[in-house]
Amino acid sequence: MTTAHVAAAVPVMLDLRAHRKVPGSPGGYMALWELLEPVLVTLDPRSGPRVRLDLGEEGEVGVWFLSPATAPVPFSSATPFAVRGVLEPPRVRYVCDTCRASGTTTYAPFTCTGCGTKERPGRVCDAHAVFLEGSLRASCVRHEPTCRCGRPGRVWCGGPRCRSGRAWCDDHLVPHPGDASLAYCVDCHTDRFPDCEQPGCPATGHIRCEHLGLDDARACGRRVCGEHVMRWQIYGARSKGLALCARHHRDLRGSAPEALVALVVAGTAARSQARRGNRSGGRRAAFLPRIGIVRHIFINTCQRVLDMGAVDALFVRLQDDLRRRGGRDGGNLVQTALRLLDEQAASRREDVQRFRDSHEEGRGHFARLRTLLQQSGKHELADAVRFSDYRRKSNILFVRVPQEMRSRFIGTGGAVVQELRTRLGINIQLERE
Amino acid sequence: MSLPGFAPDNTRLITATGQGLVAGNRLALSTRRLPAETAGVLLARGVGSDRSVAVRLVPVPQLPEDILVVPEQLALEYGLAEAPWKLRPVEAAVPATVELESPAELSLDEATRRVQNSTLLSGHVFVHGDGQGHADEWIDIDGHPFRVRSVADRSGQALNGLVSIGAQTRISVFAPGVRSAVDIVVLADCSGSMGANDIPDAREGFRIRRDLRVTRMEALKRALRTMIDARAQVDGLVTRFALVRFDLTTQVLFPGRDGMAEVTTAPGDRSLEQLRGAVTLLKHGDQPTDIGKALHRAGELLYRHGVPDNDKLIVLVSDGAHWAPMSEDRSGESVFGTEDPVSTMEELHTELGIRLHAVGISDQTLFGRWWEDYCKQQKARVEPPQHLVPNHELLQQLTDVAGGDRHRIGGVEVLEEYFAELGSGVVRSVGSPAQRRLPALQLDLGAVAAAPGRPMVDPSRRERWEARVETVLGLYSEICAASVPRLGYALFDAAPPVDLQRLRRITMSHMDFTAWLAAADKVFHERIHTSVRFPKQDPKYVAKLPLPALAEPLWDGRLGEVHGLRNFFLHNPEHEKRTEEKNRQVGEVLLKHTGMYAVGEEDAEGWQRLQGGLLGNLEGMLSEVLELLVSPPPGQGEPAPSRVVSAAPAAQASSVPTSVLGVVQQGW
Repeated sequence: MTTAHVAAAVPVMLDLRAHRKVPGSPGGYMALWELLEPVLVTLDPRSGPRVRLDLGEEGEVGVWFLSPATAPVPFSSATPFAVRGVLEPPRVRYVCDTCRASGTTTYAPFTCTGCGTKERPGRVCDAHAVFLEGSLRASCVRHEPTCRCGRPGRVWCGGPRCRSGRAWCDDHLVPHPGDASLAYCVDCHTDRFPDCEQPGCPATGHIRCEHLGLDDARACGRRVCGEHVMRWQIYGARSKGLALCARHHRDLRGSAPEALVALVVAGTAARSQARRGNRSGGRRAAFLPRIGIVRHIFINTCQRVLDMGAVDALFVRLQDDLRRRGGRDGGNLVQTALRLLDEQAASRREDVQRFRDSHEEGRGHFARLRTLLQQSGKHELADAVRFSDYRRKSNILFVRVPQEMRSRFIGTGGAVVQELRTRLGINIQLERE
Repeated sequence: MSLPGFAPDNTRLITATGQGLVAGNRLALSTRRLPAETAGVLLARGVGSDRSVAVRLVPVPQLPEDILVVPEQLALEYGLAEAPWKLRPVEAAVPATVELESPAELSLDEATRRVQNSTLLSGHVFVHGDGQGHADEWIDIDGHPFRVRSVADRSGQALNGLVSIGAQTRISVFAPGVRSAVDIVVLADCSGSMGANDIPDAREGFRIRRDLRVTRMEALKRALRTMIDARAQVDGLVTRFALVRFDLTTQVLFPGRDGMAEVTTAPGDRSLEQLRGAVTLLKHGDQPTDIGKALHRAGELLYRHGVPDNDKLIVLVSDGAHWAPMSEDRSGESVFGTEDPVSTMEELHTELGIRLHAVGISDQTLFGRWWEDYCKQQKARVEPPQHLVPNHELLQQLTDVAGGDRHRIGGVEVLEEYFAELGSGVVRSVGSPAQRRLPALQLDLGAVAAAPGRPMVDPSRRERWEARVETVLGLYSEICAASVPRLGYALFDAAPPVDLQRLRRITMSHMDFTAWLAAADKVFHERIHTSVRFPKQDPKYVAKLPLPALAEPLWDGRLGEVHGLRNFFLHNPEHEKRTEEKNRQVGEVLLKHTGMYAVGEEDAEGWQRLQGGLLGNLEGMLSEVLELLVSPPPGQGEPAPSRVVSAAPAAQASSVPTSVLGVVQQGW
């Protein structure tokens, strides 16, 4: 709640907007006040806080009592007044620099950076303003934006690089493929509609190759269209695989498991960085694949069968290596990779343990398999066959058989392996090698 | 639910303004009287008719037991201060789906974002439908009104009556075609299976017969024609369209060339005709489908040939495809981009912002019935060919990765309903409403608890008050009668009896006072004859008056105080930026009549003093007006009103150039 208090002086505001002879000096104001005061002291501000006084040919002066409720009643010649503010007639504050040069004063609603000085921005009126398509930025004729070739610009390029900050002439513009009214500079057009790396492909290469080493600052980034991109399916069924260009896809087959693990970790770390804090548009968080999947990645990419312990060891080695490097000069990518590896560590331990448990059982089946082979007189085969893997859930025993003995192991029309399956009660499969 | 009702005899009403728990139709009660949040109906007795409003009742632990906090806006709108009211908690139905229509000023993206982030949507209570199939309910979200388009239960049946949006209610936003800018590519499956005629024929006016069926392709064509008809009715923003057939290959059927085109009904434009022609050309082949490749093509069309800033939508219409997620054993394999349609769609959605609606033609039931009939005809029981069996799992997967919008499956009716809607606008799924805490109660609970109960009025004071009002109403009546012979019209237009009745109420609180003030302004200011209204800019106003002396009592500020206060108290302070000056003016009026710059919400004494002061203003003004009206007509040279001094003639001014010639005007 506000409480009233009596002010020492009566606060007023002078409205000189209808006064034709606005004083130009303190002395002028004093003279004006001397004219006004005798009339003001005869008024009662409670009859209305705004008074307009007639000064004949000089127009009118408005006096606003700012706090009529606290004013003394009645005023007297001794009542002090305090002028708190003065409203002056309007004048053109923003003058067009072009008009000013020709001796006229015109209101200039736009700014022209070329006309500006250190102290004030340049101004241009609507008659002299020049606008290019693509932005509502104005300039005067003298400072009309030019293309980098020196010719007058026609359009502010709204592409991802220029962001309406650079002007281009017709010769340096490429139209939007679906909208002739829109054009970009060559670089921005290439950015928005990049060519697919596949020669002759007319589609947009909107996918970038995600191949990246943990030491690299940037991914390969070659542009590929949705049809020609190769997806290296390293995240299982529910997530899209790493996008690779043709060259990096070719390189995969000859890569060692260590290199593949580094590639998986680097690619996932890069995805994780890109998606952090931005889950809109259906983006999901990025996680390293479980090592059961990684084992299949080796089988299907470089035809190497490693047991889970060996796969885990690859991750542990990489983790140790990154920690050493991370302490010295590890960038953001290395830090992210270390975080992902830390997050994955628990699931790796679980998977290795489950794998070991499963292998115990599998080795039992394998021992029975060898016994059966020996009992049927296939001693050479029994000696050559090696245990590879056992899947408890799907009841599959994977074995390795030397290439030259594979047909003997399978038998005519699969008779031998079928007999073994029946007698052991498990599915036996030869490891792809 | 059998919770007790609330009424003025057992509950005190307190109003709240501004942001906080109590706003819109949210009311707060003590947890001792309302253990859990519920819906309710607030009934206000009006003159002639009762009005009711659906409300959301929120329990607040620290609130005194006899207090009901209502938003001030609601209290004013329903006249809760001056009329009896009753509040009854009622159980509301929780809908499975609610579709809201986006307001014109928001883009579909922005509307979706606002609905997604709204903290007040979950638990919102409203009445849907009037029982005759008409519904006109709006939900305010961040100051934007969203119209409720449909409310349905789990079976898809429309829900009418009191409903409350639940945590599991699925919300979607509809943007009408007139206002939405969405480019659309329809991907029409033309594989061999689309020739299966397992879709029951359901033409309007015909009874559905089990043996009357059409092919899946025919059903699709009919639905597309429905869409074209609906689109022809809509004249909205610039949008582009393409119709693409696909099996193992893709082909753009509309527009004739590769790309997209506007479909308009403009004179001379043949696009609509061409689109109808393209639909006629649709026919199934004998190949399987490559949905990944079709999605890639549709994405390319939208990205390269769509209107740059428009939303982009693929509508995939298919009887499905045999699809299974890749097994773990295949991890590490490399596949071409379009080999996995789900990845392709996910890429299009995340990188290019393209969304997908999937419409599945036929389903297991429709197909099963048809195959049964077929076997009967063939007199043989055989397993159906796998490629003919509708399988919509892939469509579900695709919509999941593309924003989770529409996924419809069915026959002719479902298709036609979907495409008719697509012709008139676009629906986007939002999901369940955000679950966040409601804002805190904006009132100081200590002050609420300390607030006195509703005081009684001293009977002698009431008597004196009523006598004063009678006098004023008597003067008013005499003026109406006297002004007709003197002026040729009644100085005040007739006021409704309810307003005159409201003038008799003595105020007990701020809310009572505003109700009284509104009535006083309506009777004495709003209904004053237009010919004597005060034209602010016209200096010759007084001379124009049929009885110039009327200017003095009418516009000397006494009536102005009533009108000024009415504007101040009844205009929503959130919508009107009150200037310091306006606050000061009102403060001065209050000071004059009450001796205080501001009066407390429940300060009955203060409001009565102000009410009495204003009534005094009116009484004085009306007495003077009446005196003028009944006095003999004035002769020549009647003096001008003393406070309004005319500007001196120009000639006189020029002779004394540097002195003040007089006061031109003094006022507000």
